[in-house]
Amino acid sequence: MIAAARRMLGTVEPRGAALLGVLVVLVVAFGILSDRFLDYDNMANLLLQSSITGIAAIGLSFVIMTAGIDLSAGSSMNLALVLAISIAGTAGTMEYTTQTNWLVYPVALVAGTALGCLNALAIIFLRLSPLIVTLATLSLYRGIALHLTGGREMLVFGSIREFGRGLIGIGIGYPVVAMFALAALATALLRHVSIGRFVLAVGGSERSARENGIPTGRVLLFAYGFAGITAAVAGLVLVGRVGAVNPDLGWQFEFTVITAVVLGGTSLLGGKGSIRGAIVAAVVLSTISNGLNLIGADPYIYDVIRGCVLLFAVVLDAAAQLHTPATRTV
Amino acid sequence: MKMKSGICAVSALAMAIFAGAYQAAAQEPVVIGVSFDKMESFREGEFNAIKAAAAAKGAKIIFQNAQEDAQRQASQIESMIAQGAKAIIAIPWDIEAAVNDANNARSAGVAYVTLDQAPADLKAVDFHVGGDPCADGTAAGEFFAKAAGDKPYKLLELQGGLSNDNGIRRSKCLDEVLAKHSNIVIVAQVPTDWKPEKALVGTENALQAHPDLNAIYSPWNIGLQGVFSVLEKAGKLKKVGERGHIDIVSIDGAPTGCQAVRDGLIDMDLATPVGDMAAAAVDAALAVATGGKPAAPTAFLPGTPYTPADVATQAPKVWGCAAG
Amino acid sequence: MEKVIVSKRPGDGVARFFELGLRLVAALPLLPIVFVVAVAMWVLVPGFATLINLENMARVLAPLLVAAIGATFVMLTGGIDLSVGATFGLASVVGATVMRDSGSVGLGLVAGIAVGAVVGAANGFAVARLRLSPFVYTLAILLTVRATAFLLSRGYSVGRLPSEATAFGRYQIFGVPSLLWIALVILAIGLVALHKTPFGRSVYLVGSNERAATFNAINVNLTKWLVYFIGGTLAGVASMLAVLRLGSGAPVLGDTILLQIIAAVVVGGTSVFGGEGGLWRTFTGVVLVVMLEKGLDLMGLAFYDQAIVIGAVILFGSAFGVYLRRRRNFGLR
Repeated sequence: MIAAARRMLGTVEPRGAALLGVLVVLVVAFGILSDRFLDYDNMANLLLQSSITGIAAIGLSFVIMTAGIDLSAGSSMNLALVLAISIAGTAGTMEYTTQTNWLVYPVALVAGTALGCLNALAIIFLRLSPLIVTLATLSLYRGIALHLTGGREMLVFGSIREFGRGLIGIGIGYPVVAMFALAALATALLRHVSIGRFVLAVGGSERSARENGIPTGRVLLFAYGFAGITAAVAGLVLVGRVGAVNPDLGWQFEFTVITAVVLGGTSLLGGKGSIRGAIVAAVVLSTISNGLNLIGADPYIYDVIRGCVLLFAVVLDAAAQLHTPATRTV
Repeated sequence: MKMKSGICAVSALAMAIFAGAYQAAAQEPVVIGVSFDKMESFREGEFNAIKAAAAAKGAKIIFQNAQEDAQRQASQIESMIAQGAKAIIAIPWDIEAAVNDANNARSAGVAYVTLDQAPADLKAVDFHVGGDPCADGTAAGEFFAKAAGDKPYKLLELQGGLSNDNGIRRSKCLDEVLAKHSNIVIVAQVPTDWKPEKALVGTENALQAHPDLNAIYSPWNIGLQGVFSVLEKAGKLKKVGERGHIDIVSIDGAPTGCQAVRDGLIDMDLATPVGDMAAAAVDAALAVATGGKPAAPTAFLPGTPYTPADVATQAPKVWGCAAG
Repeated sequence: MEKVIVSKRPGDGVARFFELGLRLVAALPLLPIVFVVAVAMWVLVPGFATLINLENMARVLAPLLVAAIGATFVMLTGGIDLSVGATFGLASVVGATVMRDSGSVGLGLVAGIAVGAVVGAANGFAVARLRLSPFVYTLAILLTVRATAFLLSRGYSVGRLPSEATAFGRYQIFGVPSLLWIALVILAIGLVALHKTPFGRSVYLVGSNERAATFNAINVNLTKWLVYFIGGTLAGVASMLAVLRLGSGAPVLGDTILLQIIAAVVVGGTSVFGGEGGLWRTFTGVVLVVMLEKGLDLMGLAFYDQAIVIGAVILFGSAFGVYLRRRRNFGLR
């Protein structure tokens, strides 16, 4: 009987189920406390607010699945956007403004990829741990971005605003569509494409992966490059929505994204993880802020609750690991 | 006659000493350490004004930016003193730590002047000059009270950083005015730490909870970008005077604020007199460094209000309009 | 830290001196870089090699060193504590509030250090007994503790402390700032604990091979609990040094220190995988970070250009250390 229950728990992914449970409880609670929370428009807003974290979490999941970490996510986002705006923008009529054309999108994506790949190259060739490399580039990338802007904020107009603000017919933002599309793409990569499958193998054990002929270097380049792309996409959403690049764009963003990835059930030890979980976790985090905001709660309580949710997840994870064998899910 | 020649001799001597001192000063310019809490377009406007004021007085500047770190600011000020600065002009990041920075500098015989952000204890510094956050908050409050008349009126209050004087009092003095009008309801107070992303999400959620919102208070110009983005999406970004316009008041007078007024998107902006502030700070710093005293221990300069109706005539008084 | 043993092998003085140098570099891989940077600053930066600048550096160094010592213990066991910066901030708020409201500096210091000790003890319990992943758990604690500091202080900084507080921060003993004395005493105690006690031996064993440590009858749980407890407590002490220096506590005070601490420990040559490293290595890392900060300030380099230099130093300093360790493993052993 207990064995049967354990088997069942093992198949339904205990973390995923618990996280969905948390989301349901939050939605019901806020739905009761605020008469506007469950409005269609608010649900659309909520998804839009979660898309920035969600998109970046997809790429970071790949990195964490290789047993790596990317502390530079926020700085990569900042620098990729600053590069895109300075390369694909022209000075506006007013000081501190830039007019952008459609080229900002390809340039931001290329810049994000390059910054992510640089992280991987440093890990491979300098033989350093991802923690150290991305700690260094956290400072390096931010420094370069601030150097380029002189530490000023920059108002941006033109094409760059279209993606973050665009809506498809039913009132859902482009970024939300992009988040689900990227999640589907990432899941397909992990399941059906060899380089994606290698990601989990490298995270499981780099040594045995290498002995089995897996090109670990290329896998790392892929994972960190992908994280760079998603950081740039998240940046395009954020900057497009705000309409400005401010110097502390992405400051401590990495903590929010890591929180979402870990909350979603991806193990920091690598080798297993869940893209779906990361998206749900990003939605949970935004639900907490959005709901508390709507019911007029003390703004300083938000982070206390977010921290407690993460704590709860960690404890739950430890409890689950004691009772179920390690499972590999995607 | 004798007395007269005596006076002549004394005054000649005094003039000679004065000229000598002036010459020495000309040879070796006084070094002023300028320590900022962060960098942004507003700070750049302030820095340019300080540079211009110092150049006019023949003083030399060492500049450092502490980028939102009280320990780094204390350390940078120590370095400036070690490099021979005779006066410090600081925009403090931590208004409490600024008191200690001031004590340290002054006990080393270095003048300490604060600009823009008032320290927790004004008596600790030689001179403070800043905008008048309370006058600006009050002016904004009175504008809203007038716009509301006696109708029910829902207002969203974005707040700046609450660890500094401008953030605290631009909100507090607004609240005091609005508290006298029972028809005005503040539907949400959103601390933003001066970050436009937080202004964006705060406005989005407030507008969701209160679709009949009448007014938004953005106590700094950069916050406006997030506000506009939300209003545009909701189809509520209307010009002043148009049907369905949401009343907006902001403070700073930065280039982006001036543009918003020129575009008719906001009802009023209060321009901080950056040029006057910088000139007063440099004058006081040089006066104290050369053994004198500032004319008054503090100066709070209220912002210059300007609106879409009078922006053309007021522009010369608004630093951000000149830059555009 | 590796023991520096002078070779008994007969040989001429130059060779022995050379070997001693090699062994010193093997023990402290960052030392050559610290030396080069120090000389370069001395020559190139006017005002760097002055007494007043050294005093200023000492005051910057003290809190960072104390917090980094605690972090070194944690990292030697293969763990990590991401909550040090947040603990630093919360302790500063509580310590400064108690000082201001009670008028007693001593009571404030006790309160601030106690905050660090409580957070550290809780971290230790979670990692050692509940076997939670230190990275994730301390990330959650980072968020919670930082938010608590904001909640308590409403975002305001807490100042106007009794005058003895800042007077102590300025006080000097034999021309050396009091804050540095405290940091050096803690360094000395840490060195003794790490190299002269069974606890220190178990820290290295747990870090290099937890299983072997268990077989060697080492209380792994107790060791792990203790390192997090030490890490939290020293974050509290470091925070109090900063409060005495600044005359203020603030919830944002620890925001930048986490990265500085990790950078100093890791660049110094302590492995993030545990088992290898030590307090002298951390000392070299802290010295490098502080020298760069003050030297680049004096050169008038903008904040963001300093961030570029510091990023590059973390990257290539660590890579150089890794390179040296590889060389040493093939050459000297």
